[in-house]
Amino acid sequence: MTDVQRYFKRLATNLRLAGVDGRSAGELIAELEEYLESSGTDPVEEFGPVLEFSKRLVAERRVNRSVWWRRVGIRYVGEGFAIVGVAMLTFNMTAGAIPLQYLWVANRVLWILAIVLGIHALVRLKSGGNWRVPLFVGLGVFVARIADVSMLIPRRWIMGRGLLLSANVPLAIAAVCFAIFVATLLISRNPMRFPSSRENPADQVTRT
Amino acid sequence: MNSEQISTKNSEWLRGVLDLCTLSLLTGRDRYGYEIAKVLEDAGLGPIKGGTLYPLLARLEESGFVSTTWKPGDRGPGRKYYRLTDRGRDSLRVSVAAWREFVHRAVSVMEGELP
Repeated sequence: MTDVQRYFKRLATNLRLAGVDGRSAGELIAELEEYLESSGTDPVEEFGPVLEFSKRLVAERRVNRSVWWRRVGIRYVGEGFAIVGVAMLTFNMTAGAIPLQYLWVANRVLWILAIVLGIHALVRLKSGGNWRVPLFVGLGVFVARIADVSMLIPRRWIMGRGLLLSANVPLAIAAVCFAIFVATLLISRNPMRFPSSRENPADQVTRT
Repeated sequence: MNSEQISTKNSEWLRGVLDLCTLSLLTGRDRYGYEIAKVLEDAGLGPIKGGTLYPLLARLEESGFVSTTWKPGDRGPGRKYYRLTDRGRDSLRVSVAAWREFVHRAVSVMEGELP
């Protein structure tokens, strides 16, 4: 016997990840729940495997997807912000504009970005959505930070948050990256220069 | 041909006209998803799974052949009803005429009435 709640939760996630707007997805789930209640059947037996069913529904519901400016605006511009945010953060770190005491935060944010983007890309790949941008950004960030393994935080913690955030990952990442971007700009205005992430603070003292 | 093979044939034929049958059911009154499936089954067209019906309803809605509205149900929060639109009515009229013509030709061929 299939877990009905789990089935509809997965269906809702797949629909949202494939670009169906929240209202349409919610209405459809409510309708299908009502159908199942009337028929008294098992969801897999009635609708088929959740992934195939969601793909068939999405294929027929193009018009009911989010309007184009929301899709493009939130998803792709959001991911664009992520790229810009990471690039600016990396640039500022390399240039030594970030205070050393904040570097551990920046490093963790980069790891979270890499892992969440990777998970997001895999989920979108499974749901039939466009997975290339988050996968490439995730891989890029991951490769950029691969040397700093000690900063890896517990995988289980990330997995949980990553899946919870999956429906709004681009927006969440955009918000985080944009905040980091603004913060790095504000910090870089400070006339006081800080040692870069690649320099040992002790060396700085020695040099001066 | 045994009953199982006939049932399989029925399913194959129904796949081609399920949209027309669904639109026809909506000519007289608004109906909800489970009701459509039940009426089609009771009419002898075989069991219609929700996995077949809902993608079809989504396509009909997207094409503008049906519109939807939520109405209070006997129990629970409510039901989504499907209503035939003018565009759907026009499409149904044309398609049913075309289907009749097709069936007539197919039967003619099967009975050896070749041109």
